[in-house]
Amino acid sequence: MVSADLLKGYNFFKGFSEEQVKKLADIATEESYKAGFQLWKKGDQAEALYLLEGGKVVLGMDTYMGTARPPMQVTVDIVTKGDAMGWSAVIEPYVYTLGARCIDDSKAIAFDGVKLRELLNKDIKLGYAFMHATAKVIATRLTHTEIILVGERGLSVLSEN
Amino acid sequence: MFIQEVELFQGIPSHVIGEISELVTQESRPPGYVLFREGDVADFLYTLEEGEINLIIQAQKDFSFPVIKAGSVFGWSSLVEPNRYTATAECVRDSKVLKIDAERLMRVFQRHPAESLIIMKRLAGVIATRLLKSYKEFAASRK
Repeated sequence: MVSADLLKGYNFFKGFSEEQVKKLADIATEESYKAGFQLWKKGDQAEALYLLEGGKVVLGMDTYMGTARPPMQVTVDIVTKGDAMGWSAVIEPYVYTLGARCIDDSKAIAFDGVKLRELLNKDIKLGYAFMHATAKVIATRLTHTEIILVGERGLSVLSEN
Repeated sequence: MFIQEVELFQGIPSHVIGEISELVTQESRPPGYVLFREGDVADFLYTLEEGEINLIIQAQKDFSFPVIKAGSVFGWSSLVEPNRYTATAECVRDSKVLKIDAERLMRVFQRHPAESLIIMKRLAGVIATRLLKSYKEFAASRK
């Protein structure tokens, strides 16, 4: 378990009650990883949701450039201090859709997926608050990614002209 | 279309569906009609009943998400802060949509926490699917 005060410092838990944060703190653990550590691969069972306390994690996916060549790993997002990652732990079918690898020594608060899902189903008000916060985080990532994409498209259009 | 056929509301008990149904209006729109624009205050959640809608990011016509399956939801920004649409929704052909008042829907959620948990889980899944699609676009642009 971790202290409730540690969790309260994260935007993710803004609006959660003291009691709700305490329940989540009870099932959380702190973990440290060396640079280069692969947290999970695409297709792995989503065993935990994480909040990054420090360091940097890249999210990557394979892209294929023809059948004769091996897939190329492309970084699609970078997770930094304060960010949540591993939402697949609370979204069916509970399988990671990207790979995650530390590129710096990193530290995270981990919520075991099974315990977290049990807690969210048992305490439905907490469950709703948690899923709402998760939806918000994913939506923010989406906006961020689309801004980058549109920016790149815009730049490529400019350079073509 | 019945509201319980909407992907977010499948399997939700009839008394809750009844309350949600009261918040729904149906609209029929021609090709080219814009339901909402990126950056607008997001007041309504939409469901496609018939036709086809394109979700366009910053008018980059080549970067869009087609909505073609009846029962699919879009305009989910109405349920997630900061409640601004993240794309422009334009009808590709004659389309029918169901429009749900998001503020009143949130009040229904407060009255029915168990059902709202199920709906919010599905909503997170819908947004995650679009994020994954964006990541794929991004990865493809790196080739």
